[in-house]
Amino acid sequence: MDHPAFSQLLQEDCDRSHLVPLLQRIQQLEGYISEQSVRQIARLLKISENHIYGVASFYSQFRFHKPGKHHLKVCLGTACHVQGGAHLAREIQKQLNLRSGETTPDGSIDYEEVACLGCCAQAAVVVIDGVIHAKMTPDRLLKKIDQLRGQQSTFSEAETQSLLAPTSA
Amino acid sequence: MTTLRMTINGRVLEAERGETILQTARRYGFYIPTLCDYAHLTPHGSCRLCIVEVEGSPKTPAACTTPVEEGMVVRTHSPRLQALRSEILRLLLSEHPVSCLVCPEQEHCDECMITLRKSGVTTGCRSCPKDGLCELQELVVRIGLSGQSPYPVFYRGYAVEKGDPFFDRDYNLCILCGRCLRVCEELHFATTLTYVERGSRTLVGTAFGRNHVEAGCSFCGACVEVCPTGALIEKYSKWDGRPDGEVKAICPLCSLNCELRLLTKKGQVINSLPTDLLGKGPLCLAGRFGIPELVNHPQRLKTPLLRETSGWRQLTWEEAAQVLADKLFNCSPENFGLLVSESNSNEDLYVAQKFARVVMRTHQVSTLAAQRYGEGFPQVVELMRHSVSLQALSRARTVLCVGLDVRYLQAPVEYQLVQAYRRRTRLVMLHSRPHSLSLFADVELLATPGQEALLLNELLHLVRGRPTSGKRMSKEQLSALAQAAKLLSASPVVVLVGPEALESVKNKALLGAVQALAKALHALVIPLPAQGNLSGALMMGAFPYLLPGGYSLDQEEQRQKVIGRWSTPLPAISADPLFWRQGGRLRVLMTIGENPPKGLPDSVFVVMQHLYPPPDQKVDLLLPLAAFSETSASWIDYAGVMHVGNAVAPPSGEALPAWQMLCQIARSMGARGFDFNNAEEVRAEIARLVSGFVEGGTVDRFELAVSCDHKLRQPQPGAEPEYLSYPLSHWIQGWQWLLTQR
Ligand code: SF4
Ligand code: SF4
Ligand code: FES
Ligand code: FES
Repeated sequence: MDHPAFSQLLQEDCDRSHLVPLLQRIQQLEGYISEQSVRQIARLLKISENHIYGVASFYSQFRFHKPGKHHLKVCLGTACHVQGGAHLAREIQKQLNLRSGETTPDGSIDYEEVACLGCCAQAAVVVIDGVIHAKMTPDRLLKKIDQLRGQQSTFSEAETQSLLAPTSA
Repeated sequence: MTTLRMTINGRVLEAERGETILQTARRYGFYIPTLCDYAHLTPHGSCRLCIVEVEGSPKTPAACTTPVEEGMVVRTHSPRLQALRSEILRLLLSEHPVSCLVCPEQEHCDECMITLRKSGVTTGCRSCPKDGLCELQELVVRIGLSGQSPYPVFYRGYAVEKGDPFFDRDYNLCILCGRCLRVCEELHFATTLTYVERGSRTLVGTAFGRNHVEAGCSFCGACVEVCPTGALIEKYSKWDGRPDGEVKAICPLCSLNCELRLLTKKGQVINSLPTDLLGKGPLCLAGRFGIPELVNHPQRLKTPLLRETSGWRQLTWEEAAQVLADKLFNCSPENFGLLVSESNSNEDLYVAQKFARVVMRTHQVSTLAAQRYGEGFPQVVELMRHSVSLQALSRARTVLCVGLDVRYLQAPVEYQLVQAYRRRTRLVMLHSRPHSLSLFADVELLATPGQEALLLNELLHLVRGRPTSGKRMSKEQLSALAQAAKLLSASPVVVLVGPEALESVKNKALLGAVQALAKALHALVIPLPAQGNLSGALMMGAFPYLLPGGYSLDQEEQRQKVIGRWSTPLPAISADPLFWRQGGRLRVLMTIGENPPKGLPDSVFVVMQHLYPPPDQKVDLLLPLAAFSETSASWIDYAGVMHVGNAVAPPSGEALPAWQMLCQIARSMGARGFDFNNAEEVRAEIARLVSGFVEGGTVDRFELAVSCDHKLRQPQPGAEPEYLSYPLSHWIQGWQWLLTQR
């Protein structure tokens, strides 16, 4: 059992009740829950991988793919919708073939659709790597995306952590 | 259990504390509609159809999850409940693609498909494979739902999962009752099914969307059996509709001899189910899904066939019997041999050995068990002599499994082990490749192939408080051994020995080590042979050196008994135990359910009675054999218990059980003692010679022993389980596919 997340838990007597804390710890360390990790948890707690996956997929905080370098959120809340948020989403689906929760094949961008970010005055809102971009249009968005794909992550270490930290369930 | 008083629908009655309202109501014959509830599965409370009114509470609790209370006043039906239930059902149906369940044109639609109302996403309720068997459909009728639903149809649009063998999964029809995942979790160590995602996207699935083979499914089919809708359905009988018959039979595919409920339609077996899913456990994939394919296979032999230079000539039974009688009449005892299979019924085996001994005056009758088990055969038989029922597991504190892989074969054993495990029985496993239960073993002893005996002997040292030699073992093995020895000190201990160990190349040493260890631990040993009636073959005396009852040929008392019953002396000349190998003296070889050995000289006249044609060996006369489901037949299981199965369907063509064919020939050759009219009469005669031979009884195996030293052994490529000398995958397509996935 070589997984770093296990080291401290191994001291105690592990049982099924450790499943969610374990998943959180792994997500924190690696940013996602890999097949490998699920296999190791199964071995540690003696439960089936299917069961673990079922529990993990219940919480939206867990993800099963390696996070992309950049994080893109498009708001589909009411105000943003009125201001063309749905066009943005459609454009992304058309141009990049991405649906909410997916990552581009090259691992450069995570895409997520959200409902209201609390800054409706600036609708339609897009958030790129934690930075709000107001009054977005499809053209500008696609340009931004091109830029993102051509450059390195603008994430700071702290940002990564805050993005990956589990929101309390 | 204490009782309490409560009222249901105005009737004052006694309920048991701890029961749910649903359980009490059912006991008193009140009907409450349910959907997610299933027999002995833990209540789920998800469908909400079982809601009831409880006086003093504004809510309508679910009867299946609410415990009864003293003085409780419950109403199961009222206009409010009726309205609520109808609404719940409408909501369920709004996601169910077969919305014409409630279509007003339903009846006429059946006749002439007139309606235009059928929504675009549906193809009509009559095109669901579960039509007529669906619990949802039944509820619509019982609750009396009709008219157009106010809700729009929401079609989830999942692709139907057809990629795994044996059953299809159409989750568009799923109502998320959770029966399948609950039953899977109940029956297995590791569940295959789980809810994935939540909310409106909830779906039944596996980790990372893997297929069932990868997800660890054992294809026990339990989920398919309990699913109330058409979401999970057997591929084989998918479009067969409602079966018209159901008969109990015994599975001949391995020594567990599970009871089967065979479902028939128009005289054909279409499906096979366990008799007590949550009691005795599920079937394995062969018993659950393979049976219809095995017995209805298009290659089944239908009439006797005689080989001629121009090809096969079809014969009537009379002609065939004549051809055979002529051949046999001129055949002297040492020139005749009769090969039977360990998958044959007791009736066939008993009459076969009697035929060889009385009619042909020879002891040259045998199965190929000696070849299969090689030099460890006497040990296998010795273990079988002392075997007990798996019920012994209920008292065990530690179980040692040797060479036992129960994912695909002998799967019902897993449920027994699961139950023991839940009672905190410790599991020690010894095998040479990790398998589905490795994860759950308290100690897993991984041997390199052939090293098992060594590890067991070292274990014996440790158990006796002596140090191990430590030689030829890895560090991991040494520490596992120490742990295993510790666990095994908690008695009672039960040792299960699987086919892998019984048939292993070094089985003599391995099984000897098992015996020694079991002796030191005062443990019970349960061997689980892969063949369906090895016990029967031994007890019927279908070996050159055994008499009926499992006595050796020279046991005087039994000899006299047999001679008395048959009114003929036994043949004097001793037989060659491996007669089928020495082509030299053999002139006529008969085989029943067995493919003739390869390389027989052309001069040998080969007669074969079988379900299927031979692969490529030379056969002169082919006779069709009735399948186990086509005749009343009995079997003796791994624990010596006798089971009787019934005839379920008419035989394929003119197929006959072997005992009937042999009686016909014996009579035409003028022999006496072959006037059995039916299988019961054969069993009655067997019971005179084999004590304990009654349905459900355990036969006496006190004298059972095999002493000859068989050095002969067939190579075992992959040790695939066999039925009537064919690998099971030869006839069961899904299994073929599984093997390619390994
Ligand atoms: S697949 Fe069948 S048993 Fe499983 S949840 Fe759906 S409807 Fe229920
Ligand atoms: S076939 Fe058996 S093991 Fe496979 S998913 Fe269904 S219940 Fe589980
Ligand atoms: S609707 Fe988009 S920020 Fe509120
Ligand atoms: S049967 Fe009670 S909620 Fe489904």
